[in-house]
Amino acid sequence: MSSTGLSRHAKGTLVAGILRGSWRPAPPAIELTTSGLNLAAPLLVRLNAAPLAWRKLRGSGIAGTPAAELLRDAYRMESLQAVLRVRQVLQVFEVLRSAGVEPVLVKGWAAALGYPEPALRPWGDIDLCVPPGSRGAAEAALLNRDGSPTVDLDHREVTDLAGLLSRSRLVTVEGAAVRVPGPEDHLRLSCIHALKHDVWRPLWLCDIAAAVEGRPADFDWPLLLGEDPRRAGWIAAAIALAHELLGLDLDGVPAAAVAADLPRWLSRAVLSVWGDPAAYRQPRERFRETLRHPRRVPAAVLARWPHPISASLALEVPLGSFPRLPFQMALFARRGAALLRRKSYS
Amino acid sequence: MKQVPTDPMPHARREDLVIKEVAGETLVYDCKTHRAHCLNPVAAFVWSRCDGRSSMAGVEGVLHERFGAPQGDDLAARALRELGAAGLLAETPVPAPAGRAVSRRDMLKALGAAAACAPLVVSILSPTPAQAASLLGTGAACTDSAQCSSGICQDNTCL
Repeated sequence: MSSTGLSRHAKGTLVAGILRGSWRPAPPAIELTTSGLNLAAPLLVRLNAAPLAWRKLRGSGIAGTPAAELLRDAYRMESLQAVLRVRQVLQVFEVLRSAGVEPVLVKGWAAALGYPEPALRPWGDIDLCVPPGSRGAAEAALLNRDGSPTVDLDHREVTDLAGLLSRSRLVTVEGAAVRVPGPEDHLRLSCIHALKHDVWRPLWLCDIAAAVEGRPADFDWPLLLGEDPRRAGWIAAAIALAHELLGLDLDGVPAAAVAADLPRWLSRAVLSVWGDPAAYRQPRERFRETLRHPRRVPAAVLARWPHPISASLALEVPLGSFPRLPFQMALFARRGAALLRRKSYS
Repeated sequence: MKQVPTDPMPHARREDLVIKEVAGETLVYDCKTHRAHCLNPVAAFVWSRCDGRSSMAGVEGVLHERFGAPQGDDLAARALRELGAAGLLAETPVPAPAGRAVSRRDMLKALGAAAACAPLVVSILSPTPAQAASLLGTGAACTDSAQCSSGICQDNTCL
Protein backbone atom coordinates (compact mmCIF):
# COMPACT_ATOMS: atom_id res chain seq x y z
CA MET A 1 0.00 0.00 0.00
CA SER A 2 1.17 3.53 -0.58
CA SER A 3 0.74 6.82 1.21
CA THR A 4 -2.34 7.52 -0.92
CA GLY A 5 -3.99 4.36 0.46
CA LEU A 6 -4.28 2.78 -2.97
CA SER A 7 -2.51 -0.45 -3.76
CA ARG A 8 -0.05 -0.71 -6.63
CA HIS A 9 -2.60 -2.87 -8.41
CA ALA A 10 -5.31 -0.21 -8.05
CA LYS A 11 -3.02 2.52 -9.35
CA GLY A 12 -1.98 0.30 -12.24
CA THR A 13 -5.64 -0.28 -13.03
CA LEU A 14 -6.13 3.49 -13.09
CA VAL A 15 -3.26 3.84 -15.59
CA ALA A 16 -4.70 1.05 -17.74
CA GLY A 17 -8.11 2.73 -17.77
CA ILE A 18 -6.62 6.00 -18.95
CA LEU A 19 -4.66 4.34 -21.75
CA ARG A 20 -7.48 2.15 -22.96
CA GLY A 21 -7.82 2.51 -26.73
CA SER A 22 -5.44 5.49 -26.72
CA TRP A 23 -3.57 4.35 -29.86
CA ARG A 24 -6.63 4.63 -32.09
CA PRO A 25 -7.23 7.52 -34.52
CA ALA A 26 -10.41 8.24 -32.54
CA PRO A 27 -9.72 7.10 -28.96
CA PRO A 28 -12.69 6.35 -26.71
CA ALA A 29 -13.98 9.01 -24.35
CA ILE A 30 -12.51 9.06 -20.87
CA GLU A 31 -14.25 9.34 -17.53
CA LEU A 32 -11.77 10.49 -14.96
CA THR A 33 -11.87 12.78 -11.95
CA THR A 34 -9.29 15.45 -11.23
CA SER A 35 -8.09 13.50 -8.20
CA GLY A 36 -7.73 10.36 -10.31
CA LEU A 37 -5.67 12.28 -12.83
CA ASN A 38 -3.51 13.80 -10.09
CA LEU A 39 -2.77 10.29 -8.87
CA ALA A 40 -2.06 8.90 -12.32
CA ALA A 41 -0.08 11.81 -13.80
CA PRO A 42 3.29 11.04 -12.12
CA LEU A 43 2.94 7.38 -13.15
CA LEU A 44 2.07 8.28 -16.73
CA VAL A 45 5.09 10.59 -16.94
CA ARG A 46 7.44 7.95 -15.52
CA LEU A 47 5.98 5.30 -17.85
CA ASN A 48 6.50 7.58 -20.91
CA ALA A 49 2.78 7.33 -21.58
CA ALA A 50 2.00 11.01 -20.99
CA PRO A 51 1.45 11.91 -24.68
CA LEU A 52 -1.02 9.04 -25.13
CA ALA A 53 -2.83 10.03 -21.96
CA TRP A 54 -3.02 13.68 -23.07
CA ARG A 55 -4.57 12.59 -26.34
CA LYS A 56 -7.40 10.94 -24.47
CA LEU A 57 -7.83 13.82 -22.04
CA ARG A 58 -7.90 16.75 -24.43
CA GLY A 59 -11.43 17.90 -24.95
CA SER A 60 -12.50 16.44 -21.61
CA GLY A 61 -13.60 18.47 -18.62
CA ILE A 62 -10.26 18.00 -16.85
CA ALA A 63 -8.06 18.99 -19.79
CA GLY A 64 -7.34 22.40 -18.23
CA THR A 65 -6.12 21.14 -14.87
CA PRO A 66 -2.44 21.54 -13.93
CA ALA A 67 -1.85 17.78 -14.07
CA ALA A 68 -3.33 17.64 -17.58
CA GLU A 69 -1.16 20.60 -18.60
CA LEU A 70 1.92 18.61 -17.57
CA LEU A 71 0.81 15.75 -19.77
CA ARG A 72 0.20 18.24 -22.55
CA ASP A 73 3.73 19.59 -22.17
CA ALA A 74 5.04 16.04 -22.51
CA TYR A 75 3.03 15.70 -25.72
CA ARG A 76 4.40 19.00 -27.02
CA MET A 77 7.98 17.97 -26.27
CA GLU A 78 7.51 14.60 -27.91
CA SER A 79 6.03 16.27 -30.99
CA LEU A 80 9.31 18.14 -31.38
CA GLN A 81 11.51 15.20 -30.38
CA ALA A 82 9.79 13.02 -32.98
CA VAL A 83 11.00 15.38 -35.73
CA LEU A 84 14.56 15.36 -34.37
CA ARG A 85 14.67 11.60 -33.98
CA VAL A 86 13.52 10.96 -37.53
CA ARG A 87 16.45 13.04 -38.72
CA GLN A 88 18.76 10.99 -36.51
CA VAL A 89 17.37 7.75 -37.93
CA LEU A 90 17.88 8.96 -41.48
CA GLN A 91 21.44 9.99 -40.62
CA VAL A 92 22.20 6.52 -39.22
CA PHE A 93 20.72 4.86 -42.30
CA GLU A 94 22.86 7.06 -44.52
CA VAL A 95 26.01 6.20 -42.54
CA LEU A 96 25.33 2.48 -42.67
CA ARG A 97 24.32 2.43 -46.32
CA SER A 98 27.52 4.29 -47.17
CA ALA A 99 29.34 1.38 -45.51
CA GLY A 100 27.40 -1.12 -47.58
CA VAL A 101 25.10 -2.21 -44.75
CA GLU A 102 21.33 -2.32 -45.15
CA PRO A 103 19.76 -2.13 -41.67
CA VAL A 104 16.24 -2.89 -40.50
CA LEU A 105 14.81 -0.54 -37.90
CA VAL A 106 12.95 -2.46 -35.19
CA LYS A 107 11.02 -1.67 -31.99
CA GLY A 108 10.70 2.08 -31.08
CA TRP A 109 10.26 4.04 -34.27
CA ALA A 110 8.95 1.02 -36.17
CA ALA A 111 6.25 0.78 -33.49
CA ALA A 112 5.57 4.53 -33.71
CA LEU A 113 4.57 4.04 -37.35
CA GLY A 114 1.44 2.27 -36.13
CA TYR A 115 0.18 5.32 -34.22
CA PRO A 116 -1.80 8.28 -35.58
CA GLU A 117 1.08 10.61 -34.65
CA PRO A 118 4.71 9.69 -33.98
CA ALA A 119 4.71 11.91 -30.86
CA LEU A 120 2.39 9.45 -29.12
CA ARG A 121 5.09 6.76 -29.03
CA PRO A 122 8.27 8.12 -27.38
CA TRP A 123 11.43 6.14 -27.96
CA GLY A 124 15.10 6.57 -27.14
CA ASP A 125 17.66 4.25 -28.67
CA ILE A 126 17.72 3.39 -32.35
CA ASP A 127 17.27 -0.40 -32.55
CA LEU A 128 18.61 -1.99 -35.71
CA CYS A 129 19.03 -5.47 -37.11
CA VAL A 130 21.80 -5.93 -39.68
CA PRO A 131 22.75 -8.96 -41.79
CA PRO A 132 25.03 -11.34 -39.85
CA GLY A 133 28.03 -10.78 -42.08
CA SER A 134 27.69 -7.00 -41.85
CA ARG A 135 27.92 -6.63 -38.10
CA GLY A 136 31.58 -5.63 -38.12
CA ALA A 137 31.14 -3.08 -40.90
CA ALA A 138 28.09 -1.65 -39.12
CA GLU A 139 29.93 -1.23 -35.83
CA ALA A 140 32.90 0.39 -37.54
CA ALA A 141 30.68 2.83 -39.41
CA LEU A 142 28.73 3.74 -36.28
CA LEU A 143 31.91 4.25 -34.28
CA ASN A 144 32.77 7.29 -36.33
CA ARG A 145 29.44 9.02 -36.02
CA ASP A 146 28.28 11.48 -33.41
CA GLY A 147 27.24 9.31 -30.45
CA SER A 148 23.63 10.25 -29.81
CA PRO A 149 21.23 8.58 -29.72
CA THR A 150 22.58 5.13 -28.95
CA VAL A 151 22.29 2.55 -31.70
CA ASP A 152 21.57 -0.94 -30.40
CA LEU A 153 22.45 -3.87 -32.64
CA ASP A 154 21.75 -6.64 -30.10
CA HIS A 155 18.27 -8.13 -30.13
CA ARG A 156 18.06 -11.59 -28.61
CA GLU A 157 14.31 -11.62 -29.16
CA VAL A 158 14.97 -12.05 -32.88
CA THR A 159 15.39 -15.79 -33.41
CA ASP A 160 14.99 -15.77 -37.20
CA LEU A 161 17.15 -12.89 -38.37
CA ALA A 162 17.33 -14.14 -41.96
CA GLY A 163 13.55 -14.37 -42.12
CA LEU A 164 13.10 -10.92 -40.60
CA LEU A 165 15.50 -9.39 -43.10
CA SER A 166 13.91 -11.15 -46.07
CA ARG A 167 10.40 -10.11 -45.06
CA SER A 168 11.34 -6.50 -44.24
CA ARG A 169 9.78 -3.64 -46.18
CA LEU A 170 10.66 -0.09 -47.09
CA VAL A 171 8.66 2.91 -45.82
CA THR A 172 9.20 6.47 -47.01
CA VAL A 173 10.09 9.07 -44.39
CA GLU A 174 10.81 12.65 -45.43
CA GLY A 175 11.64 11.45 -48.90
CA ALA A 176 14.03 8.74 -47.72
CA ALA A 177 13.41 4.98 -47.59
CA VAL A 178 13.72 3.31 -44.20
CA ARG A 179 13.57 -0.47 -43.83
CA VAL A 180 11.29 -1.89 -41.13
CA PRO A 181 10.13 -5.43 -40.29
CA GLY A 182 7.14 -7.00 -41.94
CA PRO A 183 3.97 -6.76 -39.83
CA GLU A 184 4.18 -10.33 -38.52
CA ASP A 185 7.81 -9.99 -37.45
CA HIS A 186 7.11 -6.60 -35.87
CA LEU A 187 4.19 -7.95 -33.83
CA ARG A 188 6.11 -11.06 -32.77
CA LEU A 189 9.08 -8.97 -31.69
CA SER A 190 6.81 -6.55 -29.81
CA CYS A 191 5.16 -9.41 -27.88
CA ILE A 192 8.36 -11.20 -26.91
CA HIS A 193 10.20 -7.98 -26.05
CA ALA A 194 7.37 -6.79 -23.81
CA LEU A 195 7.22 -10.09 -21.92
CA LYS A 196 10.99 -10.35 -21.51
CA HIS A 197 10.88 -7.01 -19.75
CA ASP A 198 7.85 -7.87 -17.61
CA VAL A 199 5.63 -5.52 -19.65
CA TRP A 200 6.74 -2.78 -17.29
CA ARG A 201 5.90 -0.14 -19.93
CA PRO A 202 2.23 0.04 -20.95
CA LEU A 203 3.44 1.51 -24.27
CA TRP A 204 4.50 -1.99 -25.27
CA LEU A 205 0.95 -3.32 -24.91
CA CYS A 206 -0.25 -0.27 -26.85
CA ASP A 207 2.26 -1.22 -29.58
CA ILE A 208 0.80 -4.72 -29.68
CA ALA A 209 -2.73 -3.35 -29.82
CA ALA A 210 -1.86 -0.85 -32.57
CA ALA A 211 -0.13 -3.59 -34.58
CA VAL A 212 -3.06 -6.02 -34.26
CA GLU A 213 -5.79 -3.47 -35.01
CA GLY A 214 -3.76 -1.88 -37.84
CA ARG A 215 -2.68 -5.15 -39.46
CA PRO A 216 -3.00 -5.57 -43.23
CA ALA A 217 -5.80 -7.71 -44.67
CA ASP A 218 -3.33 -10.45 -45.64
CA PHE A 219 -1.71 -10.67 -42.20
CA ASP A 220 -0.17 -14.15 -41.82
CA TRP A 221 -1.17 -15.44 -38.37
CA PRO A 222 0.66 -18.80 -38.69
CA LEU A 223 3.82 -16.86 -39.59
CA LEU A 224 3.33 -14.68 -36.50
CA LEU A 225 2.95 -17.64 -34.16
CA GLY A 226 5.71 -19.72 -35.73
CA GLU A 227 6.36 -23.39 -35.13
CA ASP A 228 7.49 -23.33 -31.52
CA PRO A 229 4.32 -23.87 -29.42
CA ARG A 230 5.94 -22.32 -26.36
CA ARG A 231 6.72 -19.03 -28.13
CA ALA A 232 3.29 -19.13 -29.79
CA GLY A 233 1.80 -19.37 -26.31
CA TRP A 234 3.80 -16.36 -25.15
CA ILE A 235 2.66 -14.32 -28.14
CA ALA A 236 -0.95 -15.35 -27.53
CA ALA A 237 -0.60 -14.34 -23.88
CA ALA A 238 0.76 -10.91 -24.80
CA ILE A 239 -2.13 -10.30 -27.20
CA ALA A 240 -4.62 -11.46 -24.57
CA LEU A 241 -3.00 -9.09 -22.03
CA ALA A 242 -3.38 -6.17 -24.44
CA HIS A 243 -7.06 -7.08 -24.80
CA GLU A 244 -7.72 -7.54 -21.10
CA LEU A 245 -5.84 -4.50 -19.81
CA LEU A 246 -6.12 -1.97 -22.64
CA GLY A 247 -9.14 -3.05 -24.66
CA LEU A 248 -7.44 -4.33 -27.82
CA ASP A 249 -10.20 -5.23 -30.30
CA LEU A 250 -9.92 -8.92 -31.14
CA ASP A 251 -12.28 -8.79 -34.11
CA GLY A 252 -10.89 -11.14 -36.77
CA VAL A 253 -8.09 -12.45 -34.57
CA PRO A 254 -7.98 -16.26 -34.67
CA ALA A 255 -8.38 -18.15 -31.42
CA ALA A 256 -4.87 -19.60 -31.68
CA ALA A 257 -3.42 -16.09 -31.37
CA VAL A 258 -5.17 -15.19 -28.11
CA ALA A 259 -4.56 -17.03 -24.84
CA ALA A 260 -7.95 -18.42 -23.81
CA ASP A 261 -7.60 -18.33 -20.04
CA LEU A 262 -5.15 -15.66 -19.07
CA PRO A 263 -3.90 -16.52 -15.58
CA ARG A 264 -4.79 -13.96 -12.96
CA TRP A 265 -1.21 -13.67 -11.74
CA LEU A 266 -0.13 -12.38 -15.15
CA SER A 267 -2.35 -9.29 -15.33
CA ARG A 268 -1.85 -8.62 -11.60
CA ALA A 269 1.92 -8.70 -12.06
CA VAL A 270 1.72 -6.17 -14.90
CA LEU A 271 -0.69 -3.81 -13.13
CA SER A 272 1.42 -3.86 -9.96
CA VAL A 273 4.45 -2.66 -11.90
CA TRP A 274 2.45 0.06 -13.67
CA GLY A 275 1.25 1.17 -10.23
CA ASP A 276 4.80 1.61 -8.93
CA PRO A 277 7.31 1.70 -11.78
CA ALA A 278 9.90 3.43 -9.60
CA ALA A 279 10.14 0.34 -7.39
CA TYR A 280 10.55 -1.90 -10.43
CA ARG A 281 13.28 0.30 -11.93
CA GLN A 282 15.04 1.12 -8.69
CA PRO A 283 18.82 1.22 -9.20
CA ARG A 284 20.68 -1.43 -7.24
CA GLU A 285 24.12 -1.35 -5.78
CA ARG A 286 26.46 -4.16 -6.67
CA PHE A 287 25.89 -7.22 -4.51
CA ARG A 288 29.59 -7.30 -3.68
CA GLU A 289 29.09 -3.92 -1.99
CA THR A 290 25.91 -5.12 -0.27
CA LEU A 291 27.78 -8.05 1.29
CA ARG A 292 29.95 -5.55 3.17
CA HIS A 293 26.77 -4.42 4.96
CA PRO A 294 24.98 -7.61 6.08
CA ARG A 295 21.87 -5.71 7.21
CA ARG A 296 21.22 -4.65 3.61
CA VAL A 297 21.32 -8.24 2.30
CA PRO A 298 17.61 -9.17 2.82
CA ALA A 299 16.43 -6.05 0.97
CA ALA A 300 19.01 -6.64 -1.77
CA VAL A 301 17.86 -10.23 -2.18
CA LEU A 302 14.26 -9.08 -2.38
CA ALA A 303 15.18 -6.47 -5.00
CA ARG A 304 16.76 -9.20 -7.10
CA TRP A 305 13.87 -11.62 -6.77
CA PRO A 306 12.91 -12.58 -10.33
CA HIS A 307 9.74 -11.10 -11.75
CA PRO A 308 7.27 -13.90 -12.61
CA ILE A 309 6.94 -12.99 -16.29
CA SER A 310 10.62 -12.68 -17.22
CA ALA A 311 11.41 -15.69 -15.01
CA SER A 312 8.95 -17.77 -17.04
CA LEU A 313 10.57 -16.71 -20.31
CA ALA A 314 14.09 -17.18 -18.96
CA LEU A 315 13.22 -20.77 -18.01
CA GLU A 316 11.22 -21.18 -21.22
CA VAL A 317 8.03 -22.30 -19.52
CA PRO A 318 4.44 -21.52 -20.54
CA LEU A 319 2.66 -18.50 -19.07
CA GLY A 320 -0.03 -20.72 -17.61
CA SER A 321 -1.91 -20.96 -14.37
CA PHE A 322 0.78 -23.03 -12.60
CA PRO A 323 2.16 -20.97 -9.69
CA ARG A 324 5.26 -19.00 -10.57
CA LEU A 325 7.08 -19.38 -7.26
CA PRO A 326 8.97 -22.57 -8.21
CA PHE A 327 10.19 -20.93 -11.42
CA GLN A 328 11.23 -17.78 -9.60
CA MET A 329 13.12 -19.85 -7.03
CA ALA A 330 14.79 -21.92 -9.74
CA LEU A 331 15.93 -18.83 -11.64
CA PHE A 332 17.13 -17.13 -8.47
CA ALA A 333 19.15 -20.22 -7.57
CA ARG A 334 20.59 -20.40 -11.10
CA ARG A 335 21.67 -16.76 -11.00
CA GLY A 336 23.10 -17.18 -7.53
CA ALA A 337 25.11 -20.19 -8.66
CA ALA A 338 26.39 -18.25 -11.68
CA LEU A 339 27.43 -15.38 -9.41
CA LEU A 340 29.29 -17.75 -7.10
CA ARG A 341 31.03 -19.38 -10.08
CA ARG A 342 32.18 -15.97 -11.34
CA LYS A 343 33.50 -15.09 -7.91
CA SER A 344 35.32 -18.39 -7.59
CA TYR A 345 37.06 -17.81 -10.94
CA SER A 346 38.07 -14.21 -10.12
CA MET B 1 10.45 48.90 -56.35
CA LYS B 2 8.62 48.10 -53.14
CA GLN B 3 9.14 50.74 -50.46
CA VAL B 4 10.65 49.63 -47.17
CA PRO B 5 8.21 50.62 -44.41
CA THR B 6 9.31 53.11 -41.77
CA ASP B 7 8.42 50.68 -39.03
CA PRO B 8 9.66 47.35 -40.38
CA MET B 9 9.28 44.19 -38.41
CA PRO B 10 12.54 42.53 -37.34
CA HIS B 11 13.76 39.31 -38.94
CA ALA B 12 12.81 35.97 -37.49
CA ARG B 13 15.55 33.52 -36.72
CA ARG B 14 15.05 30.26 -38.62
CA GLU B 15 18.34 28.39 -38.51
CA ASP B 16 18.88 25.55 -36.05
CA LEU B 17 15.19 25.50 -35.22
CA VAL B 18 12.71 22.64 -35.45
CA ILE B 19 9.20 23.99 -36.02
CA LYS B 20 6.06 21.93 -35.74
CA GLU B 21 2.42 22.96 -35.89
CA VAL B 22 0.31 20.83 -33.59
CA ALA B 23 -3.35 21.34 -32.70
CA GLY B 24 -3.36 25.07 -33.41
CA GLU B 25 -0.06 25.74 -31.61
CA THR B 26 3.34 26.44 -33.10
CA LEU B 27 6.03 24.48 -31.30
CA VAL B 28 9.66 25.46 -31.71
CA TYR B 29 12.74 23.56 -30.60
CA ASP B 30 15.99 25.49 -30.52
CA CYS B 31 18.76 23.05 -31.42
CA LYS B 32 21.39 25.52 -30.16
CA THR B 33 20.01 26.10 -26.67
CA HIS B 34 17.98 22.86 -26.46
CA ARG B 35 15.00 24.86 -25.29
CA ALA B 36 11.46 24.35 -26.53
CA HIS B 37 8.77 26.99 -26.87
CA CYS B 38 5.06 27.07 -27.55
CA LEU B 39 3.76 30.06 -29.53
CA ASN B 40 0.09 30.87 -29.25
CA PRO B 41 -1.69 31.96 -32.47
CA VAL B 42 -0.92 35.66 -31.87
CA ALA B 43 2.80 35.03 -31.35
CA ALA B 44 2.90 32.61 -34.27
CA PHE B 45 1.30 35.18 -36.56
CA VAL B 46 3.63 37.97 -35.43
CA TRP B 47 6.64 35.68 -35.89
CA SER B 48 5.48 34.77 -39.39
CA ARG B 49 5.54 38.46 -40.23
CA CYS B 50 9.08 38.95 -38.94
CA ASP B 51 10.53 39.28 -42.42
CA GLY B 52 12.14 42.73 -42.29
CA ARG B 53 9.60 44.00 -44.85
CA SER B 54 6.20 43.93 -43.16
CA SER B 55 5.27 47.03 -41.23
CA MET B 56 4.48 47.04 -37.55
CA ALA B 57 1.35 49.08 -38.23
CA GLY B 58 0.20 46.52 -40.78
CA VAL B 59 0.73 43.68 -38.32
CA GLU B 60 -1.15 45.53 -35.62
CA GLY B 61 -3.98 46.06 -38.08
CA VAL B 62 -4.24 42.33 -38.74
CA LEU B 63 -4.08 41.60 -35.02
CA HIS B 64 -7.03 43.94 -34.58
CA GLU B 65 -9.05 42.32 -37.40
CA ARG B 66 -8.16 38.69 -36.83
CA PHE B 67 -7.64 38.48 -33.08
CA GLY B 68 -9.77 41.35 -31.82
CA ALA B 69 -6.84 43.31 -30.39
CA PRO B 70 -7.78 46.92 -29.54
CA GLN B 71 -6.60 49.60 -31.96
CA GLY B 72 -3.28 51.11 -30.95
CA ASP B 73 -2.47 48.34 -28.49
CA ASP B 74 1.01 47.00 -27.83
CA LEU B 75 0.21 43.33 -28.50
CA ALA B 76 2.58 43.15 -31.43
CA ALA B 77 5.35 44.76 -29.42
CA ARG B 78 4.70 42.38 -26.52
CA ALA B 79 4.87 39.43 -28.89
CA LEU B 80 8.17 40.69 -30.28
CA ARG B 81 9.59 41.12 -26.79
CA GLU B 82 8.64 37.56 -25.88
CA LEU B 83 9.90 36.19 -29.18
CA GLY B 84 13.16 38.02 -28.64
CA ALA B 85 13.48 36.72 -25.09
CA ALA B 86 13.01 33.21 -26.45
CA GLY B 87 15.82 33.74 -28.94
CA LEU B 88 13.54 33.47 -31.96
CA LEU B 89 14.46 36.80 -33.56
CA ALA B 90 17.57 37.52 -35.55
CA GLU B 91 17.82 41.00 -34.03
CA THR B 92 16.55 42.84 -30.96
CA PRO B 93 13.03 44.18 -31.61
CA VAL B 94 12.39 47.93 -31.69
CA PRO B 95 10.42 48.99 -28.57
CA ALA B 96 6.84 50.17 -29.07
CA PRO B 97 6.59 53.94 -29.71
CA ALA B 98 5.57 56.02 -26.66
CA GLY B 99 1.91 56.89 -26.31
CA ARG B 100 0.61 53.85 -28.18
CA ALA B 101 0.00 51.64 -25.15
CA VAL B 102 -3.65 50.77 -24.61
CA SER B 103 -5.21 50.59 -21.18
CA ARG B 104 -5.14 47.21 -19.53
CA ARG B 105 -8.91 47.44 -19.15
CA ASP B 106 -9.41 47.76 -22.92
CA MET B 107 -7.06 44.88 -23.55
CA LEU B 108 -8.79 42.68 -20.98
CA LYS B 109 -12.16 43.55 -22.49
CA ALA B 110 -11.03 42.77 -25.99
CA LEU B 111 -9.14 39.57 -25.38
CA GLY B 112 -10.62 38.18 -22.22
CA ALA B 113 -8.82 38.29 -18.92
CA ALA B 114 -7.09 34.91 -19.22
CA ALA B 115 -5.85 35.48 -22.74
CA ALA B 116 -4.62 38.99 -22.02
CA CYS B 117 -2.59 37.93 -18.98
CA ALA B 118 -1.22 34.75 -20.47
CA PRO B 119 2.22 34.82 -22.07
CA LEU B 120 2.25 34.61 -25.83
CA VAL B 121 5.42 32.51 -25.93
CA VAL B 122 5.73 29.78 -23.32
CA SER B 123 8.85 27.75 -22.70
CA ILE B 124 8.12 24.06 -22.46
CA LEU B 125 9.98 21.62 -20.28
CA SER B 126 9.66 17.86 -20.26
CA PRO B 127 7.69 17.19 -17.07
CA THR B 128 9.18 14.93 -14.44
CA PRO B 129 7.28 12.47 -12.22
CA ALA B 130 8.27 14.59 -9.21
CA GLN B 131 6.75 17.65 -10.84
CA ALA B 132 3.51 15.82 -11.54
CA ALA B 133 3.40 14.55 -7.97
CA SER B 134 4.07 17.92 -6.37
CA LEU B 135 0.74 19.54 -7.20
CA LEU B 136 -0.83 20.83 -3.99
CA GLY B 137 -3.96 19.27 -2.56
CA THR B 138 -7.12 20.96 -1.27
CA GLY B 139 -6.45 23.33 1.59
CA ALA B 140 -2.74 23.73 0.91
CA ALA B 141 -1.19 27.20 0.87
CA CYS B 142 -0.54 28.51 -2.61
CA THR B 143 0.29 31.64 -4.56
CA ASP B 144 -0.78 30.62 -8.05
CA SER B 145 -3.46 28.36 -9.52
CA ALA B 146 -0.81 26.40 -11.43
CA GLN B 147 0.44 25.03 -8.10
CA CYS B 148 -2.93 23.52 -7.19
CA SER B 149 -4.05 20.08 -8.27
CA SER B 150 -7.56 21.50 -8.63
CA GLY B 151 -6.25 24.37 -10.74
CA ILE B 152 -7.85 26.93 -8.45
CA CYS B 153 -5.96 29.07 -5.97
CA GLN B 154 -8.39 31.23 -3.98
CA ASP B 155 -7.25 33.54 -1.20
CA ASN B 156 -3.86 31.74 -1.25
CA THR B 157 -5.49 28.36 -0.59
CA CYS B 158 -5.96 25.49 -3.02
CA LEU B 159 -9.64 24.70 -3.48
